[in-house]
Amino acid sequence: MRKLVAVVALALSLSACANLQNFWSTATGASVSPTAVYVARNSFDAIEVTATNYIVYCKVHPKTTGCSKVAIAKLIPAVRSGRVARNNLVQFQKNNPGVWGPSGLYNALVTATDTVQQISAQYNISGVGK
Amino acid sequence: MSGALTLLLTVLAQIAPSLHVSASITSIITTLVELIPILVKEFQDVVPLVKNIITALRGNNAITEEQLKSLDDLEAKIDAEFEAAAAMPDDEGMAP
Repeated sequence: MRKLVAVVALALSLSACANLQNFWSTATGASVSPTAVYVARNSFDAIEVTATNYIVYCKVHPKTTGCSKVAIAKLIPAVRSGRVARNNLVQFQKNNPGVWGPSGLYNALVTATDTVQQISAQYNISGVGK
Repeated sequence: MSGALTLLLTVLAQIAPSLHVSASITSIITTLVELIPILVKEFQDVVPLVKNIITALRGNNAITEEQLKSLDDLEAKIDAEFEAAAAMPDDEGMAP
């Protein structure tokens, strides 16, 4: 329980920084380091895995409390959209090795990750089947 | 727990470009490392991805070609599993 509180507290404290960061990126059109892209890719991938687990579980156990057709219908296009954003960023890096990624592509991935996370939170996706 | 983790990962993605303060990075790494045993028990699928993030945040060097290739391969697997799940037939009886 203490660890859960620590995670939530850290996430919330970082959220304030995130808003400033989004403003800064949008305002300056700054580029993004390969390490930041790598972190963002892994974050999106982890959330995609969570979405996959929810969909599989709910299609096998459809009557489970928390399983929702609407949630699945929202998750599928959101994850696919995020994947496009991620792949565009990856392709940029492959075409331009060592060059920092454009913040526009990066922000698209971050926005997609946030969208999937919001759907997950709205439907308590992580709580199903646990 | 996973809900809190996805929130943390989303925020991490948002602030990653501005992570230059070592105290912040250390705090993030410490929290992620503490989570690993819980993730291994309940959410094993995301452990390699969280470990990748820890490694990236710890490292002073650039991400290597080997790390990128490994992530490419992992993403291909993750994407294929998602599409397989999306293609599974919808069973009757699920709530709207």
